[in-house]
Amino acid sequence: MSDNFLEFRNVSKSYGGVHALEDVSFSVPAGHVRALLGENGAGKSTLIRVLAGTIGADRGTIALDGVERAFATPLEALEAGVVTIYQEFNLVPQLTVAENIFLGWLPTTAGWIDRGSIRARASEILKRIGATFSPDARVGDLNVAGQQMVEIAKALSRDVKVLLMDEPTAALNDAEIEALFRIIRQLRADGVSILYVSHRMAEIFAIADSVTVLKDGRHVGTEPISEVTTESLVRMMIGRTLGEFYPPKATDFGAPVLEIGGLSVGKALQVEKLVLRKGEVLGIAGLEGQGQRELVQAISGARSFEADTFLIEGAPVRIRSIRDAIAAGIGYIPDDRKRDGLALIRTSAENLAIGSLARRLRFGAVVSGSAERRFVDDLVAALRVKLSGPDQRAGDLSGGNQQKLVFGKVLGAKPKILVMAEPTRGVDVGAKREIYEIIRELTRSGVGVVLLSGELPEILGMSDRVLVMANGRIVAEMTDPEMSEEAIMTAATAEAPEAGVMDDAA
Amino acid sequence: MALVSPAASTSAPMKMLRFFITPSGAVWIAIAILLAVAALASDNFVSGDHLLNVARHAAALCIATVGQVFVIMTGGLDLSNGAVITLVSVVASQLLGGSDQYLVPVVLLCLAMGAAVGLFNGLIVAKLGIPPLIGTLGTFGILKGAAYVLTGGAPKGGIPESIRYVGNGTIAGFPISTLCALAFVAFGAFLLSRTIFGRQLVFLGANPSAARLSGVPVARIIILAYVFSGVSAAFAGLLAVGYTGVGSLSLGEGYNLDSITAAVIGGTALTGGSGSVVGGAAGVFFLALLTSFLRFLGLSYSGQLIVQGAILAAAVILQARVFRR
Ligand SMILES: Nc1ncnc2c1ncn2[C@@H]1O[C@H](COP(=O)(O)OP(=O)(O)OP(=O)(O)O)[C@@H](O)[C@H]1O
Ligand SMILES: [Mg+2]
Repeated sequence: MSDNFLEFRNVSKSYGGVHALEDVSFSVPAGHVRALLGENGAGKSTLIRVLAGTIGADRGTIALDGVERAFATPLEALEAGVVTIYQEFNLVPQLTVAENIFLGWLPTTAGWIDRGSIRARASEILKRIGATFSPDARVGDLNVAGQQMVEIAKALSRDVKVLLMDEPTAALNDAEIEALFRIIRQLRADGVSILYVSHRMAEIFAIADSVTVLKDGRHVGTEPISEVTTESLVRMMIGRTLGEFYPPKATDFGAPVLEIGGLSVGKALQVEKLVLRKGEVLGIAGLEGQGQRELVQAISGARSFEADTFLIEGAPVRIRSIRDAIAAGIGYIPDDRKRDGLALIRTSAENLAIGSLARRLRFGAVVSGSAERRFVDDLVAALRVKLSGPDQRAGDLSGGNQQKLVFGKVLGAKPKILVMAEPTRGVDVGAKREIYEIIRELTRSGVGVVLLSGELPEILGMSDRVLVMANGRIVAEMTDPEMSEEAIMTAATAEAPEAGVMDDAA
Repeated sequence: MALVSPAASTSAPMKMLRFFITPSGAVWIAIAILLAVAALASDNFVSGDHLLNVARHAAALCIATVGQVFVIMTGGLDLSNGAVITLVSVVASQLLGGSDQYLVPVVLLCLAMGAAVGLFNGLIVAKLGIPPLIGTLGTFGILKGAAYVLTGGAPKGGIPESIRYVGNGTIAGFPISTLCALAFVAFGAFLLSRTIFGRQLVFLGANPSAARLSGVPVARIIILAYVFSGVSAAFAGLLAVGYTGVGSLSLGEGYNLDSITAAVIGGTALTGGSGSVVGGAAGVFFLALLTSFLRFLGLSYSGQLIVQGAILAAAVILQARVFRR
């Protein structure tokens, strides 16, 4: 019986003409971690939503412990022990961490909400998952990683039989991921069936017992983890091998495109000197919360800062807002694309066009329809965005394609300097590779790139030079021969900084 | 990669059909149903004459609603537009005194008053961060008070023939005020969908943070939206007073809630970032038609208000539940 505790039987679901799921059948035993893999848009989130009761399948059924179940609402699924951690957060920013964890089933004593017991139980769960913030913190004050921890805590406050996790680690740092894995292993030992979606190969080999691969909504195969390699999984996912993952690095650089001296953001950031050359990818690494975010936000004008000198192509510029930065030729790709990158309820075309409307005007104010159509078509083709048409809502695209929209929006303004934070978060291997190639194509044309990433392999594979940050300062600078994970981690931890989960971002 | 099966490539009639199940398409179905019911109930309700009369009644509200749609698209509300209408009516009446002598300067002054009120609203919302509901309600109170002070409680003067002609006259049987309203709707729709101002406005309503990071001057666009609403209200005030012929302290009553109701019925989401000017105009026509039909049925004013409130609630629920995917 427990060999197929959770069973999908011929599940299909389409949106208009897009077959998000087609005849998907597979099963997951109890006490087992199954990784669910596939390109962006392969149907992973759709499958999870069907099981969790947020959408209905067109055809097919789901069985739990041999009994066919169809959850009409998320609440029904929860009551049956099917708990989901979504790709998108479902938190109430105004409420505290504890209130969010128990939202929907607040413990009561004789009809009154029992605040004491909420706090106690919340802090117990938080401790279990290694979260460092207080149960009384307002969720809106936490950063993305903190909010993800709250989502996880929320899931664990329930009686779990099946745990669905849709890219739970996208926003977590290594320590937090390790804490999450400990919990997953513990739940597995308790007999929980776990379905785990991630685009990070290393994680899948670390935590999964077996993998199921979807491609274009179809079940390609299910294999024990011991039978697969990164190579074979990539082939199952995208139908071919990828070869060299990172494109070749630059061999020579142009003149400095950006020179900053005496940069500071309050106490969070003090940088004496930063130089970026044309055609260079400058990686920013370090433990979480050491001033990297402040640095990229300051350069891109998203946060106010002070600087003694700020030169672009040798000429002094004054940056006091995002608009100043854009006008000076700086493009910014923020890490939270749903919150800061896209208007999800508007069309893909509108999102692509918004960053450069002023470039396609007639009579000084009227948007030229034909110029915009050409602009959108060109970008969609150049970035290979998968969409049913330019009028498809940005929110209906898969994660990787949403990220390409953010790139396109920024590239439309033809920046000389591109500042990006976590540009491949939640992006599949194929699209990741495409984004790396886009970045290299830009540097070949002379663009200078600042790359903030928490993924060390990405930093190492993409950067021509790396700055390591700790306590708001640059503590090391490395170029290729001496650049390695160990060297970066050694430099990052040398000053014994305290990791900060709380974010003071405005 | 084949992403789209042939079934998804939409043909023109399919597209049209699909339009009617969008938030701004549904109002046309509501109008059709109302007309059908009215036609069954009475032989002469659905006649050209009567419908033109309804459209003439609705002209001023239609113009104020265009401005309201702009403000709601930013995620705001303008509760002060009715007070602008009242103020414009008494100011025009007193300054003109029934004569055409100062027509142009007074009309310009009225429009400038609308713009100034909008600027004030925009500044307190976008710069001081006061919630639009509270901020524009405050403006509403101030303007109402100002109208009392200006008139001493009893409006004097009169509206000259020229403005009354625009408010009341017809060209080839078509009410001039209705033509003005239609032209203004076309202008508003163009502004919202085809100009950089409109496109930035829609985007910031959908996601202000992403708009800011994309270089949209968020505060400036929000302020301009309120200015546009203020000017729309002033224009509506001139048409309304041209229709009644005399400045009145109660002329603008109800315009704020009616324009919000019409905008929402026409598919504009109170959460901002999605909606339609043409839909808002259709919402106005629906409301006017409904009011006229309920009156025809002999329903009292309070009864009409109850029905109108119920329809607003239904429209909001429809938007939140049915059209949200
Ligand atoms: N509400 C929707 N309306 C229209 N199409 C949708 C909707 N939701 C998903 N789709 C489409 O269904 C397909 C599967 O999407 P899904 O979100 O399941 O992909 P995914 O495997 O989770 O991708 P990612 O790795 O990017 O998160 C995609 O082509 C997507 O565009
Ligand atoms: Mg997904």
